[in-house]
Order: sequence, then structure tokens, then C-alpha cells
Amino acid sequence: MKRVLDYIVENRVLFLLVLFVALFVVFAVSVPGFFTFYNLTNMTQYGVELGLLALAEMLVILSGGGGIDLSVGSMLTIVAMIIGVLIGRVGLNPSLSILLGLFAGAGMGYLNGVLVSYTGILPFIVTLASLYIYKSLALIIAVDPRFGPNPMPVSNFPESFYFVGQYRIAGIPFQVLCIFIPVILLLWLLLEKSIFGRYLYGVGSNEKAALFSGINVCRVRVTVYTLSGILSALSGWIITSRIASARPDIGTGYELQAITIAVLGGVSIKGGEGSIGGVVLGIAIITLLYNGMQLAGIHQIWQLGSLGVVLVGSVLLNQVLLARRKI
Amino acid sequence: MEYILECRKIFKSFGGVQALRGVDFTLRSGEVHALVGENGAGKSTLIKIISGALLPDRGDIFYMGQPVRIDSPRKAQEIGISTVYQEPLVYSELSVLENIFLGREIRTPWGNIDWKREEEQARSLFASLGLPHHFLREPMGELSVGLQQLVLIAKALVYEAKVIIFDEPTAILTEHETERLFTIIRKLRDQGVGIIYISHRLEEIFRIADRVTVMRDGEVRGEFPITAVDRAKIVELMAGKLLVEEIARRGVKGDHPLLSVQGLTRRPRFFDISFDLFPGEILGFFGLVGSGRTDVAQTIFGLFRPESGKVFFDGREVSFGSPEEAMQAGIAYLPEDRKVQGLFPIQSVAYNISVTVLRELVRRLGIVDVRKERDIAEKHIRELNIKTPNLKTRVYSLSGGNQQKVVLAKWLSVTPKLLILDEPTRGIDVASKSEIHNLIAHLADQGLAVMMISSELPEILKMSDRVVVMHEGRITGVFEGPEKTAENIIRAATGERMAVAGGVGV
Repeated sequence: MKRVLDYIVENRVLFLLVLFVALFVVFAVSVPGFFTFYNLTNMTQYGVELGLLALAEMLVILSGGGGIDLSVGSMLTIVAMIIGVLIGRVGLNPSLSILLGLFAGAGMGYLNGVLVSYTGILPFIVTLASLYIYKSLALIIAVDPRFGPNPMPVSNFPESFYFVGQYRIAGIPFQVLCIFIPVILLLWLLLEKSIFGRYLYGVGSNEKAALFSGINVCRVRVTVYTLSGILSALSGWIITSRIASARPDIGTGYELQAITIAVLGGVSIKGGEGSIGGVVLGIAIITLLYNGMQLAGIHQIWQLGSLGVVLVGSVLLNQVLLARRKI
Repeated sequence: MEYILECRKIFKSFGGVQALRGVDFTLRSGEVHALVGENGAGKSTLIKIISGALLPDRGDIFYMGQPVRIDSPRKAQEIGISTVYQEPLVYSELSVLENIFLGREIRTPWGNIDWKREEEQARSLFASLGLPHHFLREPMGELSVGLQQLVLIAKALVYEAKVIIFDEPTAILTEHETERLFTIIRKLRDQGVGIIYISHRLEEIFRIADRVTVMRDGEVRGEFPITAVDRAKIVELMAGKLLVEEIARRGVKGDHPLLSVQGLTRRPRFFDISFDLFPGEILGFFGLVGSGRTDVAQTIFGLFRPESGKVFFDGREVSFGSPEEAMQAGIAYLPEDRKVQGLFPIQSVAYNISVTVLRELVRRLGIVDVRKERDIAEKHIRELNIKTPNLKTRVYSLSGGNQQKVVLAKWLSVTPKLLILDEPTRGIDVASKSEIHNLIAHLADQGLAVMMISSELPEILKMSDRVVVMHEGRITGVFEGPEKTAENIIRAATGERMAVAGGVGV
């Protein structure tokens, strides 16, 4: 028994799994309406949007060199507005609009990556700047000249556009089954099985040794920031479809929550350490927490505080257990 | 009191390695006493003991006639022993003035720092050294390394230093800065300060020192007034009768050079470097730290672009823009700093060994063949006798010798044509060292071309078929056969240009 406990404490992913199960049991027992098929499937859709951003942070933070992407929330917003304006105001074909939105996300991420890799400016500064620039651009795009100089949300979409965010397949939300799970699987392949993943961990854990080993450090970094842009764009598309509206203020504050989940999932802020399993569990735990609290009638204003408590609490618990074990 | 500082029968060992064996060393007020010796002779250990960074195992130190126990650098500074290192230890964000008075601030009656008096005192100090003092309020980081050293001398004087130790102060100075430093050292000497001066540059010692002590293998091999000794005698004592191990070689040197470097120059690191390297040959590169050996190697490996000169590899002219390109051509470079440049410490042993060959293990869509990856790691762990609990063990938990074998494995797994080794056995245990030596010899016998940089003379003599010696960015000698002696190599490494039969490179 003691050996099992040691193993759990040493392995962040297992530790999170235990935490997840414990939280699940607590909610299932104490909160009415939690342990139902409808609720369990329904809440997964809320995890998708923040989850994609957390996966983006995971990739960027893994690449080391102070890697962080503060602009994910802004990229989400700008893509939501691009898609919204193209469909709702320009009247462009929805599929083409979505594709253009995703390309825009990739482009913005690529720009972040190039600035980080080739100018030597710290990722914190680059992405803090792009947070504001992209956010401002989103507001500018949202201005509808027919109704004056203020940014306006777009909400006149064709019915088909809501499919992604609002429909279910076998009771499971479409975006979970057809976007989120495939994305997780692809990223798992990328990190665990592919040469790119190997190089990413190398660059993240020792940039100099990576250079001396013939790894193209800049290429790896540019790629992760680009992926971060694409994941944010996916998130922007899904959220617009789910709430049936493209709002120029939608992604505000998401970047810090996404970073929090990545760190909770065991991604070392120093880079080169962390796994997708941990981050997925981090997403699951936070989604569960938000949903359970909501059902228990706790007001939404407590959400962010609970996020902080879970973050520091889980790390603290892990350390306390580790310290006890060593005695 | 004849001596200001007197060390008697100092012993010091580090885990079985005897660094000092009964060293006597004395210093008078108002003299410059030079300390010379090869790497590992024990100079640094002695200096660290005098400056309080280390405690001796046995032996006595007398300072101003009294026995003292110098148990911290701070204590040394308090009693008047200051050290000026090659790379000055400074707070670059603080001003020059703050650096000088750090820990000895002059205070006003209210307890604030009395900037005015500090500045006055610093001005008069600088004036007495014949130095400009317009930069007292500038941040330290904006000064050149040479000026930073001088500021540290001023700081020593604020601490009323009676002994100042200079640890290879000129290694990174320009000629002009060196001259200025010498002027100041002479001034300090005339003011009655005792100076210990460490340098590899023998010509400097003849210019500045009054006495010289030669160390080798942790012992003092001779101590002379500078007028009673010549360069040849010092070199002879430094080299001594080195115990050179033999290593069996088959000697299958190829006919055509694999690597041919012609007139390679990258100012200010190295100038006009030319040499050939044949398949099956081990070419040793000897020289002092900063002589440009590593820069030459890294330039060949594509980390830097040369200004001029040509590199021919495998029969064609090459100019690699990145290590990636050099690797693909068949060059491997084992860097000198294992932890910083060689390893991914938090990744697994298997990862560290296979990271260089991943491109060949890709099946399709960038997916790595995990089984092949594991096979390669297992093969090298077996062949290099790497002691690790398992493949997944993180590399930082291995011993230094095993870590170095992992770095070696990482480069052997790419089966290079040219292997560049930069200090391949630095800081590892004797058993691993000898294993690595045997491995290198074995690889060369199989036709690999090896360029081996080392600061350890016994290693160079044992392993190399030919030795290239560099000094201040230039090749000062190439030796093989009976010419390949410790004395010849040290003479070339200390700056004496050697005429070698057959010229450089062939």
C-alpha cells in the first residue's frame, strides 16, 4: 500500500487522476443532478474552449526559453470576429470563412513565434504586446460602419453554423467528439511519438545542447507558437458557434486560466517537462469543479478563486506528501 | 618579520586525489612573486587556500608573523588579502563607486551612505594609481574587463590590502590594458604591497616578477630569484618527467586527408589556421584556455562563420551554416561543457543517446520507430559500459563519468566520419577516463578521424598521433614522433613559435 502511495505521489499524472476521481466522487455524492448522463456529457462542452487554450500553453511552455503565450485569448477573440464578420456581414460562405479564420490564427501565432525566435525579445513581452494588438484589432474588425463607430457583436449566422457548437452525436457534444478528442490524440502522437515532440522536449530542457545536437531551435519554437495560434483559432470558432454570437470581448482573461491549467497539469514553467495526460486531467478537473460548483448553487464569482485554490492546493499537497515520504 | 605571508607544509586532497603535497610558499612585502605550473599542478588550490575559499588539510599559514586560520574569503579580505580573478567578480548593475565600497561603505552620522566622501576617497585612490576617475558613477557593467580589474584593485586598497593575488589577470586583456596593469602592479609593489602573480605567459613573468615558484603535481619544484633562472629551466621544471601512458594503436592512417583546413581566420579568436586530418588519425590540440582551440572546432562544426580561409571535408569545399548541416556531412562535436552544451539533464538516458539519430529512425509522418530508438540506446549502453539503472533514468542522476559516456554515445550513434572531442575526459574518474581513451583509440583504428582538444598534457601525449599547439589564436607548433615531447609542447603553448620540420599541417 505504501509503495502504491509513493508511486502516486511521484507521478504527477497519477496524482491528478486521484484528485479527479476524489472530486468526482464528492460531487456525485453531495450535489444533486451532477451524476446524470445529461450533465456529464453536457459539461464536457464547456471544457473544450478553455481546454484548447491550455493545450496551446502546454506546447509553448514546453519549448522553454521563458516560453509563454499571453495572446491566446486575444487570438481567440479576433478569430471569432473574423469568422463572425465574414459570415454575418460580408455574407461569405461559412466553410470558407472558418478556414480563413483558422489561417488568421496560424498567421498570428507564426508572427509571435518569429518575433520570439529571431529577435531575442522575451516571449512574455512579445505575447503581452500581441495580446493588446490582437485585442484591439478584434475591436476594430467588430465595428460596423452602418451603426456608428462602436464595436458590435455579430449574431446573424445561418443555422448550419451552429452545428459544431450545439449538436450532439450519440448524446456527446459534437465539438468534444469531433474536434477536442481528435486534437488531443494528434497532440499525443506529436509529443510522445514524433520526431518533432522529441526535439520540442530537447529544446525546452536545454536549448544550447539542442543547438549542439543539430536541432533547429528556431524552427521548433516558431512551430509551437503557430500551433498555439491554430488551437486558439479552433477555440474561437467553437465558442462562436456555441453561443451563436461573435463577441469582441469574448476571450478576455482566458490566457491566465489556460496557463494555470497547463501548470496544474504538471508542465514545468522552466520548459522541457510535462505531459499531455497531465494537462488533459488538469482540464478535466477544472471543468468538473466549475460544473459541480454551479450545480451546487455556488455563484459564478467564486470560480476563479477556486481555480487558484486548486492550483496552489494540489502543488502543496504533492509537496507535503513527497516530504513525508522522504522521512 | 621577513615575510608578510608564509605557508608551511600545506597539504590538501580532494577525495583521494592529492592536490597539494607539503607546499612551502613565502611572500615579502613589496615583491612580485610569480607562481607557474601546468594545469593540475596545484596553483589554484594553493591560491584558494590563501584567499580563504578552501581550508588546508594540514599545514600552517603565518600572516605578518602570526599564525592565522583563513576560513572564508571575507576573512581574507578583512585581514588584508585580496584576490583579482581573471573574470572580475562584479555587480554590473551597481555603479563603480558602489562596487568599490561594497561592504565597507562610508556612512554619514545619520547612517546614510556618504557619497561625497566615498567619491573623494575613490578619486584620490585612482589618482594615486595614475588612473582616470570620470567613470566612478557609471554602472560597472559598462566598463571594459580591463577597467573592471582595476576597479577591483582599488577595492582591495579600500580594504587596505597588504597582499594582492592576481590569478591570470592578462589572459583576456588587450596589450594596452596589460601594460597599464603592469604599471599599477609596479606601483603597488613600490608602496609595499606583496603580490602573488599567476600566469601561463612566461615572458610576462620575466618582465614583472621578482621571484618565481614552479609547481608540478602538487609540489614546489623550484623557487628562484627571477634573475637566477631562464625560460628553458622553468619549462623543464614545469614539464618534469611526465609519466606518459602508452596506448596500443594499429596505425592505419589513410592516404588522403579527410579534413583539410587552410588559412582559417575568425578575428579576434584565431588567425591563419591550417592543418590536415587523416582518417584513422588522432590529432591532438593543445593550448591554454583561450588559445582558440575550441573556437576553431566550433567554426568547423558550423556554429560560427569564418572570416576567411577554406575548409575541405571529404574531398569537397564546405562551409556549414549550422551544426545541423555539419552533422549531415558526417561531423560530430562533443562540446567541452558537458552539462551546458552536451546533455539534456532532465531527459532520459535513451533520449540523450538517440536524439542525434532520430532523423534516421522516422518511419512515416514524422513518427519515430520507438523500438529502433531503444535498440540504439541499449547497444551503446552495452558497448560503452554505461552504468545506469535503466533506459528511462534521467541523465542528471548518473555519475560524471557515465554522463560523459552518454554524451559520447550520442555522437557515436550517428556514426560520424570526423569526431571532434573537446576535453573528452574533464572532471571524470580515472576508470571511466581510461575506458574512454581505449574507446577513442579503438574508433581511430577503425578509420575514424579524431580531433581531440585537451588541456591535459598527459592525455595529449598518450592519445595523439600528432599534436597541434595553439597560442593566442595561432598555431605555434605541430609535433609528431620523437618531436612530440612535453617540453616542446609546453614551449609552444607558452608562446614560443617552433620551427617544425615539414612545416605546419603535413
